[in-house]
Amino acid sequence: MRQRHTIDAWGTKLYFDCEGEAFDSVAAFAEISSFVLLVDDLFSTYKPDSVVSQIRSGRMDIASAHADVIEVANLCAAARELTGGAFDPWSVPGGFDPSGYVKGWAADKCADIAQEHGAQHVQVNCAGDLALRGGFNDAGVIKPWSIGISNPDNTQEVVHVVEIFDGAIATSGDYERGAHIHDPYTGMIAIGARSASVIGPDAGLCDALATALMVAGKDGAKWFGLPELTSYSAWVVNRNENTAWSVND
Amino acid sequence: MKRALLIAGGTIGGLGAVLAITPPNLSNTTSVASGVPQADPSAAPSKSATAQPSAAATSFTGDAVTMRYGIVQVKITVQGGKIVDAQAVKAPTGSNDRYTQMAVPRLREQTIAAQSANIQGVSGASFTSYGWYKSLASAISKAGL
Repeated sequence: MRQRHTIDAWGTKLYFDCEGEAFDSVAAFAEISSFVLLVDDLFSTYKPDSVVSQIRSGRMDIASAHADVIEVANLCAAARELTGGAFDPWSVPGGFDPSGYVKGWAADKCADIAQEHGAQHVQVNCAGDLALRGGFNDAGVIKPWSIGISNPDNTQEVVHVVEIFDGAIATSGDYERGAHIHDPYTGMIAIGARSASVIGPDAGLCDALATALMVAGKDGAKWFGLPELTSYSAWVVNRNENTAWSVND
Repeated sequence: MKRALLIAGGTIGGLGAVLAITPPNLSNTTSVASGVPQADPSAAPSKSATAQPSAAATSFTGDAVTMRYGIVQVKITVQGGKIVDAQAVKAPTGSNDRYTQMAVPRLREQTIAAQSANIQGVSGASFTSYGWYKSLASAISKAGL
């Protein structure tokens, strides 16, 4: 049975749309809720005693942190490599801030949990970072999930639709929470794009790549020629023109 | 590296045009709901199914969804198993007023055209829009569509 569920967390909304003949929604959403709370306790930069806040203030080393924090830090380091430093959680004012990776990473983990409890068709939407599994059951016909990318100039509009059966999409923009992406090269607010969407298998990496494209703009297109990123594509709205570009699309 | 840049360059012209036609895809697909009404009355929640003889219009109000900039709540009117009207009962006001007034009628058009939005999710930043979809989804489920 199809179950839709919302959790208020991380200063935003998390949305779940899951279906499966043997889907145990009560157990799944209970486990997801406690995972979401754990993520907040580990990664929140707003909570003074979160693990990441302790790392930022020098009260803890990453190496001695919770296994999930070490995992995310390693994944962040890999994303930093792939993007030539355009995504760099270590060069943010105030110290280590993996926020650009965590939402996508957590979306994948939530989708894993839903699948472990019998969900066959899963959408997890962590405020614009989506993990999708098993397509969408449209009255008995299994189709890819149709996901709209919202217009950065008017977020009520959809400017592009992508279809994803299994995979992820993340969109980064300066329009949701005001300008919040920091350019590690210049120390200024990122200006490479108006909004950047990345589609690929791993939601955390999509999140990081979308953030990095906000910094690098069109220069970031070259990353998608790397062998590690052949199954990733991007759709980017330029900053000052009413145009968009894509790569691997 | 050069190849990737060339590919990117080649798509710029074409995609500029895509941006001009917004929103592209919301109205041209037949929806889940449009096939449902007469097909399986037994599957629909019995209360709303029996409460809607084809001629009578019935309203269903979705849950109020609290967004960062205010509360969004959608009311739909159902007639003969179809959404014939969708209104915002509550929408963000104040500093976002101009924005909301532009946004709500457009979402309303999309709702009626798409009969239970044929995109299943939105990537990007759409607080009001998200609230609309969420409230709409609860109104649709109350209507048993």
